[in-house]
Amino acid sequence: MANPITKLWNKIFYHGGNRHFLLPNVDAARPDPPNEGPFGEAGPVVFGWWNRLTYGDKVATPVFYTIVGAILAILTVLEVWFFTLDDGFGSLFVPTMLVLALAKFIIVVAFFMHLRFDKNLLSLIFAAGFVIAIAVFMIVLSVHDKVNPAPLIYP
Amino acid sequence: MAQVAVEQDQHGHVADTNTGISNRKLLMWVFLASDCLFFGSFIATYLVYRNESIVGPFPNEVLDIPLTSVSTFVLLMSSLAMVLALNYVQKDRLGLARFWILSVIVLGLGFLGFQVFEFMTFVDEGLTIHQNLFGTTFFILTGFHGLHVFVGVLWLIGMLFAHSKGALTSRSSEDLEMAGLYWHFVDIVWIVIFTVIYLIGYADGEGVETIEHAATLIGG
Repeated sequence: MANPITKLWNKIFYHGGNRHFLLPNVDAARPDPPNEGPFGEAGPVVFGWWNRLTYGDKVATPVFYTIVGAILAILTVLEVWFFTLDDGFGSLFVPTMLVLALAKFIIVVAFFMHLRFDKNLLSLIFAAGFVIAIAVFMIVLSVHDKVNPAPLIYP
Repeated sequence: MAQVAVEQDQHGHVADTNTGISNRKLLMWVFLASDCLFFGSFIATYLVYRNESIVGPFPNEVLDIPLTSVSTFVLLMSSLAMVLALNYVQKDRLGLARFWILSVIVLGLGFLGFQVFEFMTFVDEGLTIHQNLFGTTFFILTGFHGLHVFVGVLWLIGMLFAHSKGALTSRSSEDLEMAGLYWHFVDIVWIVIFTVIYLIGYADGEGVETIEHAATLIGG
């Protein structure tokens, strides 16, 4: 009969004597893990918080909207601040500005216009219009050779 | 026979349509999607003729970033006021709703005031719609945006009038939601205009017509 110390040793390190490490019983170890994917078990935690923050009690609260408004204001201040920097961001100035504008655009559309809360069909309709607009935009600029324009001062 | 879905959306509205979305709301989103093309075309046109003006004034001589930053902030906050107004109408807290609708109207008129002041300043400095390519594309783009804001203000004044008649309650909150969607769209268009035309385009100066013209610009 194994003494208590050996039993404890086997329990901790050998999974009841089967020479497998006694790993915690996690969902990922199950034959059909429920949270398989890039976020693994962190997924439900992360997205649970995201859902509670953005969805709340079906309709977001005024406090939530005020926080969103404050974030929009901060992004605008950041835009203007980057603009006033002497050296700018060099070649990163335009991409930085576009990313900040895109972030503001998405925040307003998702939360103030409720696409985050509404049916997906509405998001698809707006996205379709937006994508066609961007396509027309790029075609017009390409036709006029403005996507990679020649330098302002010729060499 | 088409199956009719009866579903409640996030505000408890029942829409007995195939999609479960009220036809008005669907139509509004289709309109907003098409309006993306409208403003996308104007912004593309502005960029096509960017740096192509031969005579001044040029963007770096007239654009006033501090003033426009304030007006951008005003329009952004009007969007916040709009969503709060809708939130309170949905909860039947009509006094607060009236306050926030009025706030949106005041902030919208404030934005229009900034725009009128900016236009008048530009005209004083010699930039008119037929002065150069910058003037033409700039006034058309921002003028149509201002027209959208003006229509939105009129719409909201109508909402306020309906409110005073007791016609705006949680049961009819979709009326205000339509106005709100339009208003927020006007806001996101300005987000793009402010970044592309004002912040990125501020450094634009005199255009180069020919190599000889470039040589004169650099003193060659």
